[in-house]
Amino acid sequence: MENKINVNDLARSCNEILVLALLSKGRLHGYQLALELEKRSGNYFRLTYGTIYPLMHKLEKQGYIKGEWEVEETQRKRKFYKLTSAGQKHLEKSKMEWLGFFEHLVAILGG
Amino acid sequence: MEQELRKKLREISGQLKLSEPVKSRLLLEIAGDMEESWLNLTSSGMTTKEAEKEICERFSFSESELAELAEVYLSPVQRLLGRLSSNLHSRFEKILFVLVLMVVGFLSGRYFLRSSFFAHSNIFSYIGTLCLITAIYVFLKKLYVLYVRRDFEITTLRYSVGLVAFCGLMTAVCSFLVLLDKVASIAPKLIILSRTVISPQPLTEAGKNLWTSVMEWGLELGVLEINLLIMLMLIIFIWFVLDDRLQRIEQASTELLLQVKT
Repeated sequence: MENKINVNDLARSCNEILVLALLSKGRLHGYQLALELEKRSGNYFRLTYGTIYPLMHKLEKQGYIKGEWEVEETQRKRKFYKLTSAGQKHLEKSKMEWLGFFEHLVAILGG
Repeated sequence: MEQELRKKLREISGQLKLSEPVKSRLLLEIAGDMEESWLNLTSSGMTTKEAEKEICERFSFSESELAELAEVYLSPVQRLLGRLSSNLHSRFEKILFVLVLMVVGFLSGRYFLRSSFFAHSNIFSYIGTLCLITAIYVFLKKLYVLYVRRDFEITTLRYSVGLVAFCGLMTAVCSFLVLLDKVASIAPKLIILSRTVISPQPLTEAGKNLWTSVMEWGLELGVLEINLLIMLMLIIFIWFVLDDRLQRIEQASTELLLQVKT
């Protein structure tokens, strides 16, 4: 059976794949993630922290990402997130789902 | 950290319905992001006021976002309780606490009845039992507040732990008083017995009875003391578990305070 995106939950799925895709390039903390997303999308995607934290903590709880505390040079503790192998698999699956979604969307819009 | 940002962090802390140390860790994470954000914005030419305004806007959480964040850490029991209305919830809690007290009282009573604890008991052994029941009740209630209700304040966190420590102390005192009381009750017999032992004459029937009653007394005392010591160990264990848990919570909170104040 074809994997489908839940169209009623598009925003959440979109935010999830964005976070996972960014973390697949390397570990980041919340602020870096928000900054990187804006930079790489040319300010097209702009997530508020009210979206970022629940999402990151949910993904961490699900085992897709892993948070690690580190002390920076400024002596401040920071939590860095990195993608787990389960997260990598989930990302691949999500990519397929999104590509399938666009294919169907374009078929309707373009037709 | 800037005054406005600290204020914002306190505001988020007040709104977050999360248990410790999860809450403090999350606030620490937010504080780090806020600070880095502030440094980047001010170094890019923004004034302090503008940077603060921008950060306060971006770090504003709606009720649904806070609820979503809290839900990540909810246990199945908490999810179930969350569905109840506040009136029903408080009634449920009252019934739950009474039931817990009854079950703890029943189980402790049954155990000590089986070990013939009450058969040889005196007032001090009853006080010891009461202390144990109180400590277990306080322990269970504290766990409920820490893990289910999650509406505690750091400043009042240790209130009931002191009661557990007091119960432990009372049990130790009771254990000693039971010993004194029992020794006092048998002292005349012990004196006669020591004379019998010293005497070169063979043991009479009365002497044998005396030996038997002293042996029985020893067994009674043993039962009482062993049970009181078990109670004491249980209370110490409860205190240790609670103290350890609260220390972790306080540590997380202190860590947050230290990081935020710098």
